[in-house]
Amino acid sequence: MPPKFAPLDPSRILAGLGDRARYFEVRVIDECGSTNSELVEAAPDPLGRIQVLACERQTGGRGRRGRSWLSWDEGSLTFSLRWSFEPGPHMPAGLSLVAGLAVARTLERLGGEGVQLKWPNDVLVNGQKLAGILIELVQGRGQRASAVIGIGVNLHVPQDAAIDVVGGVADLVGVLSGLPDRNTLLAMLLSELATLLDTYSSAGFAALRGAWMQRNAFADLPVLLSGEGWSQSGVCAGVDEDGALLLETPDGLRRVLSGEISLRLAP
Amino acid sequence: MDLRKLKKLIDLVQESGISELEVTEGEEKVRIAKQLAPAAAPTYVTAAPAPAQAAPVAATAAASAAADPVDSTPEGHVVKSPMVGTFYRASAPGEKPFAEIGDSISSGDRLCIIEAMKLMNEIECDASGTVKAILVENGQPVEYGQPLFIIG
Repeated sequence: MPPKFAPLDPSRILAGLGDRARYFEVRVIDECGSTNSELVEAAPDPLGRIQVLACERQTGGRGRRGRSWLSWDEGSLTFSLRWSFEPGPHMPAGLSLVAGLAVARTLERLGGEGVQLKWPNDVLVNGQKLAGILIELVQGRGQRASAVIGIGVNLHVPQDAAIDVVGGVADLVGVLSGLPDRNTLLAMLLSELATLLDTYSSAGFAALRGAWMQRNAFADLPVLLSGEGWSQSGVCAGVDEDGALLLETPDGLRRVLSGEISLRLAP
Repeated sequence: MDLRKLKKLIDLVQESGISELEVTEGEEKVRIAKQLAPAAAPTYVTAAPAPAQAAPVAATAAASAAADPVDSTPEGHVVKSPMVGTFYRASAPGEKPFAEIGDSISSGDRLCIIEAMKLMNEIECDASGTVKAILVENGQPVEYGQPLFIIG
């Protein structure tokens, strides 16, 4: 039997945020294509709060470069938040790693073990993907720069789900012994995000780099980076102060800013 | 040509990736050339990931620049990259590019996406006109302030 989850409820989410509730504007909708798309188009909050949009059924969840993010009604938690910032030398570089770190730390707080990060921001447990993040920047249009951070967490993936993901997917039901209800989980995620975004906006990704590296799924392992029309192999040497992946290659240390990382099997 | 305009042009050259700019206005003509120091942008100088294809492309660009000292880039409004990242001309591999040379573009139209670490930045055109040049190949790394499109 799939577990039953209580419906998402803004007042319960805000209650779970406690003192931090005043920094957020939270909305819940039954169904939408993509919470990211909705927030990119939304008017900014006049009070400058972090805008949160959570959705019971996301039908057109998006991943990187045209990929989709699958959800299973109540078996998923899908939400986006829109956060305003002042662009500068330290921002928004590394922001997506900060978001991944916040998700990982929340799961650890709930007792999750073996939570790791796959550069730049996939959250893995035992090598399987548990959560994915996609960030879209909103600039221009006479508005303050903001980033829409979309997060999808698998709570319970149906056994018969057709999934085409290398290594398979993990779900929270399989990772935690006691699963919190979705409103509490979302409040915990938002609270951790607010904490890390505070650190990030004052000190940049450099201040969180060590915490990220501790959870690096590919630390010191041979990896392959592939992009559109190129690939590069090397040994994963962690991340730089702005979140760029550091790759040890025969030609020296290289910085990589985009691409898919995968474990390179021995020839 | 007044001083303010000259200053603006100098700033434009300094911020862009071009080495030389020549502007003719009636009888007046001004040429601004930049001394390209090896570390012109210290913050980002090591930023290019230089994936497999980047080196040959860069080499070709340098070679053609050397062979042809006259800048053949068309004049117009330069749309520059707001961040370091990877340049994509379409929303996904195999999709139709947002803009092609010769397309007429209005201010606010999407031109490309710059990605850095799964942070997607859709670049909108900040001028109206025709796409005269696309200065970067799809999938290539770009620097902060690097010219991407020329709109005339």
